[in-house]
Amino acid sequence: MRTRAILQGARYLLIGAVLCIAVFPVLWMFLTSFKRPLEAFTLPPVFLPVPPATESWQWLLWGMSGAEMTFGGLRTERILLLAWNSIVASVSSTGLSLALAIFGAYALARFRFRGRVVLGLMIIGTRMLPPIATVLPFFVLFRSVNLLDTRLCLVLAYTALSIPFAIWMLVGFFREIPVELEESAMVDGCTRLGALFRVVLPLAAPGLAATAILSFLLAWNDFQLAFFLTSDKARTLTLASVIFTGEEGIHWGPMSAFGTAATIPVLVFALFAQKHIARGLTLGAVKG
Amino acid sequence: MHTEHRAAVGDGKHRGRKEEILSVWVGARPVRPEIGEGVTPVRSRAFRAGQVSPYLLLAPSVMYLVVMIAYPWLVTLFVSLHRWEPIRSPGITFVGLGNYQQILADPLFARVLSNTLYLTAVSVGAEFLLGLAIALLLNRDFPGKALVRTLVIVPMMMAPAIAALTWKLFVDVEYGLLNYLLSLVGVGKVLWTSSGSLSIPTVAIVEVWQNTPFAALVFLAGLQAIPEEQYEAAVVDGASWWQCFRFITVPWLRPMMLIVVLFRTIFIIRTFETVLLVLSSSGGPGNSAMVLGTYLFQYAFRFWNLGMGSAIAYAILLVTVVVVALQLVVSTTGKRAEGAI
Repeated sequence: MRTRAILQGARYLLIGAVLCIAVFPVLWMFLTSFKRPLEAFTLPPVFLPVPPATESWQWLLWGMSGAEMTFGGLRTERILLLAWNSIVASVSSTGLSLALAIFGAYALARFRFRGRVVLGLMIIGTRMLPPIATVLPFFVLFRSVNLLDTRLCLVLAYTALSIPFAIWMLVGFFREIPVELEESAMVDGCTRLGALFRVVLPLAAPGLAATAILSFLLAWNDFQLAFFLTSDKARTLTLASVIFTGEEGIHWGPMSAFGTAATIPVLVFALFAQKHIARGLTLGAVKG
Repeated sequence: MHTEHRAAVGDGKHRGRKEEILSVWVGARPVRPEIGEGVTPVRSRAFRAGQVSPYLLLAPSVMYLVVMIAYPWLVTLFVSLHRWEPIRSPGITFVGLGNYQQILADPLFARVLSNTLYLTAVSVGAEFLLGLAIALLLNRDFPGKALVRTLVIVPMMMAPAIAALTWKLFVDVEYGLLNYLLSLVGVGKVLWTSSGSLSIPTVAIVEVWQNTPFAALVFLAGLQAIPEEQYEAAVVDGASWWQCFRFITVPWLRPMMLIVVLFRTIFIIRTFETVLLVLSSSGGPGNSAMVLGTYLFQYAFRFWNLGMGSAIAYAILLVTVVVVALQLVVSTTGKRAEGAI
């Protein structure tokens, strides 16, 4: 009985340690957003800024409500444009890739046809293409049609990378649903596509949500593609971190405020969606 | 029709080699209906009006991918066989395999390749082990479990670029938090980012911090699917914890393990922003940390040598395919051996 208590205690201790390591850098970033420029990067490091300096947040928030303001040479209304670019690119690509992937996944899940295996492998295989290596082909492609540095090219690129992943996951979710349901719907006079929309999609809604969330995150957090395919007009939010590198060094305060603001929505998201994400990752992959 | 949709425990039917590899790649839970089973095959007589061709359903996706992925890659192949440096000269000249030869002859490339493989092996290995450990730790009901699980995946939720910059703060040699903490316990200044031998491990640390939650999440979900009865039966038979782990947990987690390893490998071979942002350069001190991603960046977007860049892109693809193929082969061989026992 004593050993069990000790083991339990050790377990909790370890969990606590893991949590500390996981959360600390984020916490630090949050605290840094309240530091004065000198405090952010000194020796010995300042843990808690007392009293907290709110300049960075004022800059960020005022900027977001449209007021013109600069902070050490940084243009703030640009943040709005970046956020908008990110949102447009992520949401559009998620929507587009889901729309295409739903049909494709349904075909792979419910039909037996020649070339099914090969097509399936090829589609999933494109997921293996490392984006950094995809950057160059995209660059060449978009350059030739003059689409560089536009939101459209980001949407197209993200969709291309999203579709294989979405198909992979959706096939797993679709197969979870018993075929009998669609068959009875079709016996009742539904067409195949009707069955897809009326029976399968509603039932696969959690899976759709998980896939949408992950596709969205993929596009939202992307750095490489945006870095190379945009330069001025279509820059996204993740690249803003590069903005904060000035000649005198990195502006840690504003960058941390910005980083915190960019991370919080994702965290809140995660709180609600973590169950779905885990389920989606494993179901979609294991049940293939 | 098919009533066995909920998988039972079991080892499944005999499979040929092709099915094995497929099932490992696509999923390894046996006794499930085959993809496409339970529905009329396209050619059967039951294919009546109201049905829609699967080719039609797949067409948009496939066409999109062909245009957006296959075509650009072909263009890149084309470019990789030419010399094209837009800044220097507008022309584009055919050089055959010249770019590839240049890559192979470049001493830096050998360094880059070994750096990348080292980073991959170390990061994926660490993420795998730590993720498994964390999943095992968390696989218990305790107060605050949901909160803990959410907090654990926080690193994964941060944009990699921001995470890299935050860690840059920590590992700074002069003012960084890590060195400060170490100095408190008497350890001298560690040259995280300015030493040739430590630059890649530092990048690895950042990657591991950020991506271990992924492994933990996947393993945790897998652990929760294992039926309790298996453990109970084993304990009744007198199995030790290690035996339970080895003969129940591990086989059940095999698909997850493969997912974690493959996923992470594919993603790490292309590491770019972590190196660029943590080390503020493409390769760190003396190019000791240059990886394939930044190597490509340097040639394609610093030197504007698109021919070389394209060739490097194919090199990365090749490396990825080889590594993934190796992993698949190893895992199926392992499965075979286990099935034989």
